[in-house]
Amino acid sequence: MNEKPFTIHVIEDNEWYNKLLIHNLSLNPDYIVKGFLTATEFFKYTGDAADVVTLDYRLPDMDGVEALQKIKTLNPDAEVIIVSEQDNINTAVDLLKQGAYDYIVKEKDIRERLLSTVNNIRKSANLKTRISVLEKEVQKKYDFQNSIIGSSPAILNIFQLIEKAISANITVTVTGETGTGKEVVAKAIHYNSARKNKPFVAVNLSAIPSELIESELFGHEKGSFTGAMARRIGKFEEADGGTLFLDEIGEMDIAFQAKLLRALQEKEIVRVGSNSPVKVDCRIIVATHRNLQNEIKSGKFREDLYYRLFGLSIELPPLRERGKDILILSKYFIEKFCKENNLKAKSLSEAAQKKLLAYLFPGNVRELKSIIELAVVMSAADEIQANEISLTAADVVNDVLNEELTMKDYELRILKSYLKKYNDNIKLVAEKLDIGQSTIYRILKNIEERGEEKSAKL
Amino acid sequence: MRNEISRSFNLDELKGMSNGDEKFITEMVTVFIKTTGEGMKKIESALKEKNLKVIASEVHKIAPPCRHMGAMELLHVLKKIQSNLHTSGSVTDLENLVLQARQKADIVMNDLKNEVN
Repeated sequence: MNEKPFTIHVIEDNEWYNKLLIHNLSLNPDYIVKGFLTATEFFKYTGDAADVVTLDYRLPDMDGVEALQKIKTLNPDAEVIIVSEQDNINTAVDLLKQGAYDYIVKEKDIRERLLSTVNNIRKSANLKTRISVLEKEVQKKYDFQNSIIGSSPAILNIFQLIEKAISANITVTVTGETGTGKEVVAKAIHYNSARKNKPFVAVNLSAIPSELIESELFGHEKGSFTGAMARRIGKFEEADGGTLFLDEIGEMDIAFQAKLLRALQEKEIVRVGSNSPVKVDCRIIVATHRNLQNEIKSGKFREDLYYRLFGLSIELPPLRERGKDILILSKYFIEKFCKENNLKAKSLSEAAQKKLLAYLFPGNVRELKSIIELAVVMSAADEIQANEISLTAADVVNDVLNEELTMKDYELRILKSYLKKYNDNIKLVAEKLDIGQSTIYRILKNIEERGEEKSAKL
Repeated sequence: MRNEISRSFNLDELKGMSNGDEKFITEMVTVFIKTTGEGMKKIESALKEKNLKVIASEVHKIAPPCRHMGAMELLHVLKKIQSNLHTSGSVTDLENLVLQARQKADIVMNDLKNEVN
């Protein structure tokens, strides 16, 4: 990250001290230092605003407190360091309360103290700038036009639901197959909502052992159980003011569900080992790949909790139902991967596109991303070919089915595969396929009758 | 710059802060002579007018550089003036202290002039 010049203004009426401060601060080439002998001269200055102002407490034309207040009003981001001959604790405390960053006495160690203080301010300023940049980046990342890619009617419908979830503080249930982007949707809702500047806390409930779930979500007091060495706040408190995303809610132990229900209803939690409730204000978004109504029927999920969580339901479509979104997403992943790895931009050949569109993607968007990344790596040319796209073994069947052959052709393909595998041992192949040897001979005879061309094709 | 022979000042601290910049030391010595001389004149003038506020302000202004220039005797007298003003001490004592400050300041300024010339 490029750091902007760090500007320091020195207001000091003693010419000697003014020069001394400017000299010491200017030793750092990253600092732009300008001196002023009076407050009037400083407030008339219309150049760059200062990051830091060193202010002599006793100026001939303005009281130190008044000057401090005026600086903070005109430039609230500037930090003011009071530099004074007076070693008066009450004055120092008063000035710090008024917003001064530090109070430095004109003693022999002034150079070290001043440089150290300015350095701390600079580090803090850099951190603030970085946080601000990251906040903007996160917001941009989760602007759902950027984070959820696609233009199919199914995904446009999801956009509308997300808009509704953003505008109301309602509990949201996100369902969908694995890899459809449930957490992406949860983040898109959070980072576009009024809670965006507060934490987004995600918890995968399937990854937490049932005996630890209460402590993880509600926190615990020191000594509440073996190993509880200190007080620890839980995810509810961590997400206070923000959003708590409970992923795989369907995996939650039924014994804990009553406690969760109470926490959601009362908007308060009780840490393990404590009797005092703690108020929490967090929006709840839950996700599951399970059908919760089926879980209720089988007694694995509380009905009352289901209705408490129900809220706005967003059901993410599987990728196979999103049509051309597969190609839009593929293009997006190719561009992203190439950019991140400094590779030349690539495209998909027509055959590669057809292959992707024919695939069922049981792992949905997550799987498509992996397939595309591997294809980019495997492809030597600018265009990714169909044979460079590796689909998982489970879907070779789908691949074959997508070819839409006749039953006879499928039969023949299976037989040829077995004969190859068992070195043309017809007896063994007949056993394996549970058919008679005569059936095999009949199929092979058909090959001859249909001619070599067709046979070769298969 | 010649070696220091006088004990009315000590430029070690200033030299330490100069990062080897002789021009900076010369400039700071010159400015010190100028501002201390101007400050003493204002103090003496304010004393005649019994304007204690101006005396306090000028002493406050010229005292800190004395610490960094090693002019400790002058600083000591200036601190006594501040104490006199703070405790509303006698005018006679104040007059004596200002006189002492003038004498100490003259010595420091002369020694420093010899140092830079």
